[in-house]
Amino acid sequence: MMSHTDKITIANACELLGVSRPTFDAYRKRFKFKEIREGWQVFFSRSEILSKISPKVSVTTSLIITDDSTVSELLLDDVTFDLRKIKYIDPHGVLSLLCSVLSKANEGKLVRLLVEDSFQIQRLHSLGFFLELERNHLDKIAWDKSKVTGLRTVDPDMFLPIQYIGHKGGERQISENLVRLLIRHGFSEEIGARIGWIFGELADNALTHGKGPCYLMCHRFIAAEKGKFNFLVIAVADMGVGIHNSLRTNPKYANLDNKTALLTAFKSNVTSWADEFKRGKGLTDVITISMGNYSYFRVESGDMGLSLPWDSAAKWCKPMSLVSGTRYSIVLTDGEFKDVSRDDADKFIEKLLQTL
Amino acid sequence: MTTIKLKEYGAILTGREFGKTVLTALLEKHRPPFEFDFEGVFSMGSSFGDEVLPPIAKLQGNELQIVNASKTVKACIEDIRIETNIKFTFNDIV
Repeated sequence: MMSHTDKITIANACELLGVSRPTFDAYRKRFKFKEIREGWQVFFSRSEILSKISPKVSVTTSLIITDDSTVSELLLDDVTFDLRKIKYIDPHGVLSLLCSVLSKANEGKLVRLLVEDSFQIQRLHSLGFFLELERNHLDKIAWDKSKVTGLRTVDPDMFLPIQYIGHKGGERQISENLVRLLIRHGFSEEIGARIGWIFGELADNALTHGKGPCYLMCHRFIAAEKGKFNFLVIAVADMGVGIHNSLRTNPKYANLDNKTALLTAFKSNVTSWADEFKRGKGLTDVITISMGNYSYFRVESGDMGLSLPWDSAAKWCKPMSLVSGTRYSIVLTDGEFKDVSRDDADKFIEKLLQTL
Repeated sequence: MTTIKLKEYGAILTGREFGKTVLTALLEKHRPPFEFDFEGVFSMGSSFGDEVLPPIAKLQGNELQIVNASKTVKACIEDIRIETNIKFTFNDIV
């Protein structure tokens, strides 16, 4: 029985496969697609077509922190992600994609992933992407498992593959192991220590306000930029309500608009908790660490994305994923960490607020 | 003066709840005054620091002696100092 969403027209099928009408007609004969006739119109099953034939793919989408591409570029329809289009993916992209797929499955939809035996898909496999999907929703997410089974290739630059943190404090042991690993690989103790701090604050924040688990990742990349070579991209993601919504649960901030709420959440002593709890420092600490390292910082919450490259102007951007929740990513340089005060961070945020 | 070796609680000290747990454990096991030895501790988050350092300082005349704190730990302690006016004294032994 074909479901309502599975039924597609010839025009839809041509679009799905990226082929012309004559080519599709040739496929109809060759693959013997079942036809459903309703009056004069003919329908086909999307899942049957996708199981028999793969759409044309151009490898175009770079899901990385500094790019404007979004997960929606991989969507062939509401529930089909074509992972073969991935040109490059970093921790920000991996966690955005993971949250997007899980969120669709959480809505009760049958999600389909188009995969092949390519470098980027094997890389996703090596990061535990498919393992995490299986752990969550084996029956709601389908992909050709023959393409991603077997030995998981090891990416030597992936210091921390996808880490699921289901309870408070779970991030501490992971951070400790990561710091030791980074030091063994020649990174300074300081960058490791700052990452431990950032992971601690963001994971604690996600588990408190996100009301659910969160994910962590860390990846090295090497680039000759401004005489610096060793960079680490770290990412933290949750599928909670988003920091702007969380902040507005405090009556003091209830009337803030989305962008103001998102930015205000990074000011010191601003929190969804009542003042007497004296909270609201963790996110400011993340800003001070990023500023002190001239890092590239990106935060996404709901339909907002904010990118803060400290050497140029901040800009609002399209979020990589529209899934509810918050995703943070930072590119840290293995170099100087200047001490920046919370006061300086507050002034910086205040300046951004004035531009709204 | 009791020296508390914080590495017994981990090399990454973050999380408000964890801070509360550590504070309770310390006060159950030892009597102030304390000095805190951070040898083997990579970093401390503000939320953890807020829960442990100011309450202990309050019990000993708003003063705290800190030993072997890394640059990262000192950065966090500096934020606490600005907010609380605790008098921190730093000594590096290792």
